[in-house]
Formats: sequence, structure tokens, C-alpha cells
Amino acid sequence: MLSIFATILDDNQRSFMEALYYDYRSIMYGAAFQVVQHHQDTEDIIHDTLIKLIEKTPLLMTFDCFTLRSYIVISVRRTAIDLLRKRGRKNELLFEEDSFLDTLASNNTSVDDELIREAEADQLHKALDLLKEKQRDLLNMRYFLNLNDEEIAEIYGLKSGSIRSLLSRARKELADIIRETENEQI
Amino acid sequence: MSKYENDRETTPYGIESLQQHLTETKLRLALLQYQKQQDEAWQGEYEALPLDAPQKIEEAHFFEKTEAQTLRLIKKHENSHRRAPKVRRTFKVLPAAAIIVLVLMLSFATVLAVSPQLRIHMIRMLYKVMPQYTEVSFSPDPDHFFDVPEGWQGLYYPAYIPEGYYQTNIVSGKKSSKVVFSANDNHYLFFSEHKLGVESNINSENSVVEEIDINGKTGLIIQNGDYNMIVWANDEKCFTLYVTENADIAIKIAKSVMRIK
Repeated sequence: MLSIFATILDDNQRSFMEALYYDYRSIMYGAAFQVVQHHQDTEDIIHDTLIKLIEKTPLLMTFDCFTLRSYIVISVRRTAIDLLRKRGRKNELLFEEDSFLDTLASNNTSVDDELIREAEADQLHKALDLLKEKQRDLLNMRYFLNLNDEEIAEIYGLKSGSIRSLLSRARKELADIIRETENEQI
Repeated sequence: MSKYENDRETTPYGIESLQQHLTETKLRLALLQYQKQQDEAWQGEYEALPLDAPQKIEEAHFFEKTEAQTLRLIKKHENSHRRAPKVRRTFKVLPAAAIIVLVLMLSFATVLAVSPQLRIHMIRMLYKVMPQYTEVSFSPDPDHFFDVPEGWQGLYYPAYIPEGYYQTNIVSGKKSSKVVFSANDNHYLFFSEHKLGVESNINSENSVVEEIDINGKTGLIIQNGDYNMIVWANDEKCFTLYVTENADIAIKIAKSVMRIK
């Protein structure tokens, strides 16, 4: 991160994104290829992600290297999911449109949220590990990339109401896993 | 102001909002920690692979084929991000007002060293226009001051930084000085001072560009839904301000930039 920061703040040096590309291209490649398993698509994903990241340069400058790396990886996954949906490919990372989604919100949202709020860090970590990958992606888009319902809905090709329900379900799922692990410990 | 004080300013007060804020913060932290561990594990496995591992050879071929095109794409988009704006001129007439007594904050600064920052106190000028004379007095204002980072080598600095922002980075040199502030919810503020004569392209796509007055000098404000950017210059330096706040706050920050040396 230090090298990147020094670069962007030095008018005579190579560009910020160029430095970022060289520093993180391996992990970008790995994250994209893992999802699409296709070289041309991997290239498209890396390009689209870099274009999105260029617009976020001042924000990226404020990150430490770990947060920056994670932000890049999650951004790559977001672009990959977007591409899968645009190409009409069936994939387990995508959500099926469900006409009942809009009306199906958990009745115990506040109870689930309370459980998440009061969970220990390692409990949450284990629960995240057990959560479905696509639900983890959804939570990352909301809580890490700070995308709103409409922006996430566009990526998945769903209605924003569906995204609200899916997020509610993901938090419920997380709370259920925490409950189960608590019961196992007892 | 410390990071913790800033957090206090932006944390909601209502019980339900506070609980929601706490849940979201906890989730965000957990997701970040989880992702960090995943990335470290990936990196560990990757670095353990020999140079002639099929995965590394495949990747090397991939970048050999795509590197030049990616670099061209980065250059093109960075340039377009800084493209010179089309100026839409707007003229505003300031309402004239009859004022008898004014209290002005001036930049005749007195500097008190407070490690690790310099504390700049304002001088308060009070004047009262009477029928036959004008009464004038100057005094340091104990209630109005701002802090300048110790390493700041620039001549100017914004006296006003909105509540909730804390400094995250600073680079200061002979040609230019730059400081970055962050606040919660991905808010950030970037201020830079450059020597006169520099040229730059500014991204103005999907933005409204207007001429504005910054302390008697013409500047440009580039208004985007997500951020506002102001560029202006005086007789000594040129300045850039980039902030994820509304135009009023951006202008207030720009107008607060004052000479500190």
C-alpha cells in the first residue's frame, strides 16, 4: 500500500492504477478465474474491475494494504457475478428470481440481528465460513462495498425488493448457524 | 480531533438506529477479517508454488498476452477520469447588504506549537463604523483555531474540516502538498496545494461544472452526485479540493483555505 500511496502522490511517477495492477494482478486473476474458468472472461473482468476502481481512487488511498487487497478481491467477484448474469450462464453464485421474495421477510429480523450483534468474533467467523458463498457475496456487496439495494439488484438482475429479502435471509441464515453452534457447545 | 471523537460524532443516538449501526459494523468487521484470512491463505498457497507450476505458467502466459492492453486501458480511463471539463458559465449576483458592525476571521495567524500539530489561532477584528470615526480592535480569538499537521510544508491549509473527518495521509514536498481525510461511510476529503503552472485534466463526465468565487479568485466547481471537486488558484499557488459532501460544504472548505506561513 505504501508504494501505491507514494506513487499516486508523486506527480512524476507511474499511475496509481498501474501500480495497483502490478501489485494485485495475481490475486485478481485467481479470484476471477475461480468464478468464470475462462481466460477471455477473466481478462474482461480484470479490465472492468480496474475501470470501476479508477473511480474509487481517493477512497482506495485511505485503505491499509489488507483492506485494499480484500476490496479488490470482492470487487472482482462482483464484476464476475455481473458478467455471469449478463452472459446468461447458469451458476450457483447467482440467485434465481423468486416471485415470493418480495413478500418473504423474516419475522424475527430484530432477534437475528441481536444474535449477530452479540456473537463473539470467532463465532461470526465460523458462521461466515459455513454460509453459502453466494450469500457471503451478497453481504460483502452490502456491508463491504457499501452498495445499495438498487446497485446490487442491477448486478444480479433482480428487483431491489428481492435484494432486501435476500439480505434479510442471509442474516437469518447467519444467525441460525450461530444458534446451532451455540447449541452444539451446550 | 481523535478518530474516536469523530466516530462519536457520526454514531446515531436512537436505540434502534444505534443497534442497527452496531450490527452492520460488526458484520463489516467480520467480513473484512474473514476475507483477509481467505486472501492470506490464497497468497500463502500461491507463493508456495514453484515457478514452473502449471498454474503459474498459465498465469504468466495470460499476463504476457494481456498486459499491454490492460496498461493502455488504464491509461485511457485515468485520462478520461481527468478529462478537461466543459465549462458552463453561471453568474450570480451577490445581494448588497448594509452592515454596520462586522466580525471577521482573518488569516493573520498566530502560531502556537502543539505537538504533533501546529495550532493556528485566528485573529478577531472588530470594527464599528460611527458617524465621525471607525473603532477598530484586533485580538486573538480563543474559540477559533485549527490544527495543521506538523509535516505540512504548504503555504496554505483549510481552516475548516467538517466534523467526523480525521487525517489518514499526508505527503508534503517542495512542488506540492497533499492531505487526505476520511470519515465513516466511505466519506473522504482530499486537499492539495501545487505550485503555479501545473496542468491537469479533471473528470467531468456526468458532472455540472460552474465557475465560482473563492475569496475573490475564480475557481471551478465540478458537481457530481457523489462528490464535489473545486479547483482554484491565487497569486501564489493553485489548489484542488475533492470531497464527498455537498457543494455548500465543499465551498465552505475551499473558502476557509488560508495562508499559514
